[in-house]
Amino acid sequence: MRSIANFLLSVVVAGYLGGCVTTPIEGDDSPSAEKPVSSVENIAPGVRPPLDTLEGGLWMAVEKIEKKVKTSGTTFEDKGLQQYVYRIACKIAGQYCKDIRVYIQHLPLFNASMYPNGMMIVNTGLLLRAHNEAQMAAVLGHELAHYLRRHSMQRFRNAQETANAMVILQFGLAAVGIPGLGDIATLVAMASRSAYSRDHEREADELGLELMAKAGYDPREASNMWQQLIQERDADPEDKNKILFLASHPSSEERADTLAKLADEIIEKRGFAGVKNQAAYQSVIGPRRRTFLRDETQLRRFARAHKLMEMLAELGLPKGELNFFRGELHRIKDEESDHDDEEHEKGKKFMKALEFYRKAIAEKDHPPEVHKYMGLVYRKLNMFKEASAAFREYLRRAPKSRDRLMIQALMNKIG
Amino acid sequence: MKTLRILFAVVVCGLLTGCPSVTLVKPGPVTIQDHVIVEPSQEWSHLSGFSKWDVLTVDGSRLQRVSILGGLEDGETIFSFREGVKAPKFKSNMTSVEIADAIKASVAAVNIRNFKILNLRPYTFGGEEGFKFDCTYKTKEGLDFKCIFVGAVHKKRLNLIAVYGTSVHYFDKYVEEAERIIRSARFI
Repeated sequence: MRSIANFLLSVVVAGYLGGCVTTPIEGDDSPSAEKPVSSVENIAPGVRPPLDTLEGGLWMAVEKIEKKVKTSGTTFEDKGLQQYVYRIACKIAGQYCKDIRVYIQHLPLFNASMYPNGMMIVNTGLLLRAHNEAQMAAVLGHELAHYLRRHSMQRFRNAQETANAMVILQFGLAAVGIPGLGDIATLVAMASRSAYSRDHEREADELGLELMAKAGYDPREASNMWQQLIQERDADPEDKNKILFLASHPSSEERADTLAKLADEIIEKRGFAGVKNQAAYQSVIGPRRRTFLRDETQLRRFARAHKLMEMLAELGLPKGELNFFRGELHRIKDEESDHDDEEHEKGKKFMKALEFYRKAIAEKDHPPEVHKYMGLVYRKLNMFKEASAAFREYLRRAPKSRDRLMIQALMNKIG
Repeated sequence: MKTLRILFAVVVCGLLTGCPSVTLVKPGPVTIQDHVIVEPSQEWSHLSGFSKWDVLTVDGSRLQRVSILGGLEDGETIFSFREGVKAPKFKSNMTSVEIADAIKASVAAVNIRNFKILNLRPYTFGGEEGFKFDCTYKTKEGLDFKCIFVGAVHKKRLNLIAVYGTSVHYFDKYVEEAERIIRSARFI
């Protein structure tokens, strides 16, 4: 029974982590700090809420989650990367630095979250998408703002109140003989919860922007980050029809516009823009990028992934690597296509993949795997001489590869 | 009335593709999914109908298991996924390299991205030219696992055996028997 109760509490807590609150940060004269969304005070640095309070209980539950996160198989085990992200988070957090812990999750989706006890989760999908340190700082700043304002606790409290109100509403509807309208009550509860959350998101956007700017970063990069996400989303027609009424965040366009305006105000006020630190950021992400790009191809969200890689290429990142993975997206799509014969007859199958592979090998930085996959495609197209040459080049460049025996066997087979 | 209910359940089960069941397997030939015959040399619990894969286990499938997939058809996914998950599909013209990639991507689709293929190599499986590889991964709960995959395409259908066990104790405890099962495999 106790374990079920614990589990339920964990689920509820996990569901309400975005969290909220508000007291002006010491020495902070920002407009958002003067006009908080709620009257709850900011969390104080280095202070743990007493156990007999709602917040203390929330912390205790989250600590159990953090214990699991520490050893979870989804954690990206890379101390260097973890320490880098922590350093940036610390720079933004200032006096709260010692209160936060950063965990990198190996998940190829754009996301970060902050728990009420100072646990910060950052997905590898975010790290791949951020173009520079300032963009990552923008997201970390937003999450830290949720933490400082204790938004989680407010959402938790709101959820409790909404749940109570729902019970009363359901009873009232049943009493007048219309129990079927219970669904409407659910909808109302969800909508009120979403609206509440949007206020917190706006507040976190504003404060987050100020935090990143204070740490010396160019606040315009927050809006740029959102614009990139909008472009990626719009590349996939399936993703365009979202029900805004139920969205828990302000619409991305509105968010990007607001952030751009606020950034301009900050820059005008202080007289300088701040740094982006693109080279430093990409030098850290660079050695991990292939892993992150492979994750993206495995997701099979082809249109989005192409757009993402196109944007990264425009940034001047290694074209050999990016073209290889764009070739991979085409190869996988064609491989799993249900129109095998038609495409083969038209001679189109795998042509786009080969086009990108060729572009990749024209660059010095291309990974050895390009040759392996080129070989596999040539073999499928019955171009055995080319396949053999490609496999040979792969083995020459990657003599210790973990699949060398299999590639050698394929070469022997085609002669 | 009770007999009628049982009869109804039996008929419904018969109409479905596979009813979940757990049976005891004795040493000797066992037919899996009408496509593969294996010969364990000890008793195993045989779980079938829970997913695409049949499972043999002694100490519990969360600690160790030998999973068998027989006769996967062209266009099918390697594991059972919930609706909406975009996972790789098997194609009968895939090479072993591509099938190994598809296995890795399928595991990633359930958010295990630390799955490492250690040594993909040719292997004769069930009399067909196929592949074998050793692998490792860590579960979401943080448990380290070792595994082995073997596979081959027979009559345009994919047959696979996967051996899993915790790195501490269980993998080593059953690996010899698991290898015997792999060597005994014949395709129908």
